[in-house]
Amino acid sequence: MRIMLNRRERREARLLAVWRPLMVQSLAENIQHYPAVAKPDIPALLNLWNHFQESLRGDAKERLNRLARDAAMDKMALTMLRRRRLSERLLAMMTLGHLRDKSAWQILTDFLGDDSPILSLAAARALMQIDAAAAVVVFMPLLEVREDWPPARVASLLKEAGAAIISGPLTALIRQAPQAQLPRLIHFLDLAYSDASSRLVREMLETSHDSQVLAACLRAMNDARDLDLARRQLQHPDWPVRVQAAAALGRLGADVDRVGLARLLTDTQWWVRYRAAQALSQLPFVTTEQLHRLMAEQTDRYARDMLKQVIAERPA
Amino acid sequence: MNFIDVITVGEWLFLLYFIGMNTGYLMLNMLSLVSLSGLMRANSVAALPQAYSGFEPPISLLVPAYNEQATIAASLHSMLQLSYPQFEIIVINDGSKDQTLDVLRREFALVPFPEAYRARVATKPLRSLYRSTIYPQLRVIDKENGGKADSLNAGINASRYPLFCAVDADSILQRDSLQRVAQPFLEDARVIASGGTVRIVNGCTASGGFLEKVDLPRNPLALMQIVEYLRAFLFGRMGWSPINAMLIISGAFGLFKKEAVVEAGGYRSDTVGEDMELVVRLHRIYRLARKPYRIVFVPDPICWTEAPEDLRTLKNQRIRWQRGLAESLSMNFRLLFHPRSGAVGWLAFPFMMLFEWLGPLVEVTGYLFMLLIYLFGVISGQALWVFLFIAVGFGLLLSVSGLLLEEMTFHLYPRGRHLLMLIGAVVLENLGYRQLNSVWRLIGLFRWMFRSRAHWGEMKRKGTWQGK
Repeated sequence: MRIMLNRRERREARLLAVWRPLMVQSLAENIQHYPAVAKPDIPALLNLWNHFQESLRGDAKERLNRLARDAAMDKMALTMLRRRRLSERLLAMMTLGHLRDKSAWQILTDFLGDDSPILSLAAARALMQIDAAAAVVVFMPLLEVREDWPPARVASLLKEAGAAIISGPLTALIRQAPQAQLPRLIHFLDLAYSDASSRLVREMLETSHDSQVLAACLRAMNDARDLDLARRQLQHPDWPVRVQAAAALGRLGADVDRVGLARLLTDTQWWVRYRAAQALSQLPFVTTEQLHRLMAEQTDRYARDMLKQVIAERPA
Repeated sequence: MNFIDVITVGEWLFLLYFIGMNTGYLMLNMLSLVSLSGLMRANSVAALPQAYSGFEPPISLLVPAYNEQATIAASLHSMLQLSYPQFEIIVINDGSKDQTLDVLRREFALVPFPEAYRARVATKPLRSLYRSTIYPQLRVIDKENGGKADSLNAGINASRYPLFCAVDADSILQRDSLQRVAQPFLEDARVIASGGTVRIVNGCTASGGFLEKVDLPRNPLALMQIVEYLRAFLFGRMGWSPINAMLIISGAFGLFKKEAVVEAGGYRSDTVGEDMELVVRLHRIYRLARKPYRIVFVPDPICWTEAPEDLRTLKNQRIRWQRGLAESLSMNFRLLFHPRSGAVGWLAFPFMMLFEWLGPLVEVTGYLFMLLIYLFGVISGQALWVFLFIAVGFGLLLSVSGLLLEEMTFHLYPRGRHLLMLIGAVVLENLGYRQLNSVWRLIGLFRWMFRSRAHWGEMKRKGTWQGK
């Protein structure tokens, strides 16, 4: 086994020694001749090419694509995509995505429904890279049902597609999604255009009575015109909503919010007191002296302790 | 039943026990083989550079420290360089008798910090809280001595983030350690804890708190522990993880969902095996309440720790570990064969009980029994050899399979010399070292039975791996 492994490593090292300089060279000039690639070396070659793709930006990616097409890497990837091995399929999807190879569209769309979250999300990413606008149409409805898709990976995908592409479909999806799915989906609103997300957040804050939805909306709130909606939630019976209301006032609030936030300093929940104190500290033009005065006015020990901590956290 | 019948029954019982134990481990090995090869294939692509999504949950790193003046500053400097979008570090000075606090004050420009401390889990009284003026994400709790579990609880109370990572102050991490151990939390919302593989740093070279070169130690004890760790982590834990029945996450590096731990009551300070006890308790609480959860093992080598190189320290460590194991299982006995306990209560717990908890007792008695009846001429030399062949031969097979898994996956020891040394260690480990270990573990078992006093395990460190 050790002998086979060493042999494979040596083989890969030889391949890298030839192809790495070629790939670097291709960023500056057109390459005329490519060395032949033996079948067992194809995964290592595609892996190297993808490493370059993931590390580069702008024109360089397009130059690498030219090199890949000239060296028939697109065909290699398409063949690999039909194999059963997970790692080969993932590598093929990644390659075809970077290449924006439309001929793979149908087979990638089929993979979107695969039970494996790794495979289905890799297919989604490739589709987004090939044609983000068209991919969003098939991807968004799945977002509602695929609870197994890790939010961090979905967020990366949506971020890569860009706010211009996702804002409309995402807000449309949230508008018609069942109540249980809303908190999860609302988190993605951060990645949409602020005007589109603000409108939706406003509507939901006005109509929803679900604590989780309210907390998610307050977390996504980014328009100061909606502050009254946040102020309304400062006394909500569920503390996660109060936490997010205080945090929203800290981000967007004004001088008039001092009284409401000061009231939360005596809340029974530590996080509410902390966010309220932080929000007070973040309000525009609030000085450390003013916070000290506010602390002196407090009769509640917990309120005083929290203000003391937040004052100490303020940058000098 | 006459005397000879009793002896024959005993002989067969010991033989069957050894066969059962080793067959069980071999099955675990098979399970690991399947899941590891799948994981490695997926990892080859996941290893490509990826941007943070902004959805990574922030992490509080909890670093309990007791008399760590020599290493604490270097360890913290390396932890501060970990690549992860958002994390804080909380050092808990557990009433150290040396200059640990002074070193921290000086090195990180600590100032007293008026924290609105929230005692969600009971701990020994706090003396003071500090915050670094150089690194805003670093805070230090100075408290009265209460042990590692108590320190971790104080750290949990002061932590701000939803996940906390318990790290030993002398652990050597890799830059992407947090990223790797947090991965299961990103991929599955049911995950409440994850732990990684701990490897032995003896013989390696580290600089600036990070590992630079992997090599093998010259010290035979440390070398044999490398084989032991390969076995323990690559199939001892990897085997149980896919069926959600892993009972241990190493105290040297483990990531937990804070709310899950707080709801469970935090770490128990009346056990020396607080890391294992917490994991077994989480299984018990979640299984019995029928709450969906996952406790996951990350096989990547993400934490390196120094192994004892002298017999006395090693003996103390193994006694403590055995005692911790006995306490962890006995404190959560309700899990055993509970109708709702699933694979944990019906497989992992009885397996652990039979082969790890009571194992040393049966093993040592077995060896002595067979030797005695041979000496008294009750069995033939051939029968003794069959017994030894099964007991030692299976052990060898298991150690070799651990090495095989390492070769197939991470392949951290690439040179031919490494392989030869490890094969040598596999043989030596089974000819005396394992048997000695069983004796120490038996002492641990007795100490647990007679409830002798336990304390922070003091480790004699050489630190030869540290760069200048």
